[in-house]
Amino acid sequence: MSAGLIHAESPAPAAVADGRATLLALARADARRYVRHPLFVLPCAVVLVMVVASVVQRDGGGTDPMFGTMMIAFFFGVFGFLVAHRLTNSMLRTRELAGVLPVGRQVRTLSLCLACLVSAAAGTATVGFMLVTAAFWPPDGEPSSLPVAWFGDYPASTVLPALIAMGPVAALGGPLLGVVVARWMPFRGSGLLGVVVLVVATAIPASDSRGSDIRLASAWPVLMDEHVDPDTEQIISTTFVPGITPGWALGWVLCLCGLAVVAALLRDPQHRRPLLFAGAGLTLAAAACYALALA
Amino acid sequence: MNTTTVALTDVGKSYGRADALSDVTLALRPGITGLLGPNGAGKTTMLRILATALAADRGTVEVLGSDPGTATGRTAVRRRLGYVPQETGFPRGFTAFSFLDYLAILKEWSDAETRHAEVRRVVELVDLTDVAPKRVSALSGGQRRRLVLAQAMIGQPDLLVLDEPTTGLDPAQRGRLRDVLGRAGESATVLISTHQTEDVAALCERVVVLDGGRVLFDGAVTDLVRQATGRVWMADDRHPAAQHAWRTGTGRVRNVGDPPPDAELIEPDLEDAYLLLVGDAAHDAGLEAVS
Repeated sequence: MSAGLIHAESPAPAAVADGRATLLALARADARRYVRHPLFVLPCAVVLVMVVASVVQRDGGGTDPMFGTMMIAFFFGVFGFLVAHRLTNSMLRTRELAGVLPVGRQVRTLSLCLACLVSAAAGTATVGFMLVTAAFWPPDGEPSSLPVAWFGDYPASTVLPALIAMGPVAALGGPLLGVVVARWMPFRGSGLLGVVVLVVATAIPASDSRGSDIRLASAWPVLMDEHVDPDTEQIISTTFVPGITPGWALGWVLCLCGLAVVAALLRDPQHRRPLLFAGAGLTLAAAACYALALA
Repeated sequence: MNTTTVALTDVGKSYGRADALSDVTLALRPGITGLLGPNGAGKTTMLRILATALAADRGTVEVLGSDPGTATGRTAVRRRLGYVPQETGFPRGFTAFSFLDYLAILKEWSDAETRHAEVRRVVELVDLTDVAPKRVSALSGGQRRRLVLAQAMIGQPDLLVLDEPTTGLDPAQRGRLRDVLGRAGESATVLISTHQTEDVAALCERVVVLDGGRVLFDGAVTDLVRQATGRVWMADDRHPAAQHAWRTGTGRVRNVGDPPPDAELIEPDLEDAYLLLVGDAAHDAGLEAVS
């Protein structure tokens, strides 16, 4: 039977490229979809208004790192969870068609993980804006005669990892978790359920009354309000949670992001072995970072 | 060209205890083949197996020299396949152009410039140029159907598997589609499943009729039509011996079946031949069951 079959060269045109080029092209397309998604556009507009308003007011409270990173984590991380979840599940409507295309589900998942960098970029831009505006227009204290020092005498090598961990990485981690939930729980309502779990699981351990080990487990652990004026209840500064080293905390949350990518990719049967090795390595690295952050 | 591109040998597929396909053996060559059969005959199951969307339970399948039962074989087939499923949804937020562009990337067209040129070509091919910037959700049913056809044509695949591609198209669109498929069939292997016998008559040199998961007929369209010669006649009323009869626009009744001696015989068409074939098969099956 097979003797008569055509075993021709692939008729693929010159435009057909290797897997890496395809992945990058797909990631660019997914990033465009991410940027245009209403649940990303709307938070961007809100964040833009809030950071600009805080600079215009220059009241010392609007752009403080605690508030700024919280804004990033909520608007880009939590909303990003929903964006990534919806983008991941969007092709389910076309599964009969998409299921017989040469680019498989695992590559599409990896592409969506790369597209989540859009959210991280938005978080980075917001943190950058906060730092630049704070440098040029330092926030006033309450009363105005009191200067506000965000982190006291801490060096930039401590401050920057904290801002990165709680801003851009939080903005990345939310969407990555959205991809994971969409891949493993593709049922209707899993997105909203996931958001509720994400907010509760982050907010409860992160409260000021918890120990540093529990706060670190919240994945949003490093910053806290340093001082609240007892008369005006005005937040005048931000500092670090005692007992947590921001640099290692950054490593911890980055490992969690890596584990999320591995978990999303493990949904498909291809490349299971290297993925499991990568997952084991990341788990060890995460445990080490966690321990070192508390040391 | 007379070389086999698709070979099914004793292929079977079951859903629970129901056999959707039973021992189907079929060889396809470049050109257009029509697939006819009543609802539930196994047409869609066969197309999904050829399109690598479904695996056969029994028998061997070879498509374009590859075994779709293996991962590498499936990918090799998918690189040379265009598939129009019977029904499909569309993701939100895409325009017609961006939807095709996205699927072109999933067909490994990574270079943006050549990809966009290819997407413009298929958009033009199915006459969607005017609505290409519109959101898919704003397109009519016929336009969406052509959009699905357009994605199948990306990259001029060697194998086109089309499940009821003309559903929802108006006569002008069907005419254009026949032109497009006719051109594709000059070099590619095209398998069209449809209930529209006139599409098969107009397009296909070969027809396969499935019923109950088995191949009832496999041959030239003209051969199938010839089987109905002498079994179609016009009369003023429905004849009791006719398997099928309907009043035509002239007011007279077209009867299909075993004619009386004095019947006014007319030339059969493919629909008559198909009805007789399926009707005779059902009749034979009934006799077998009784005996």
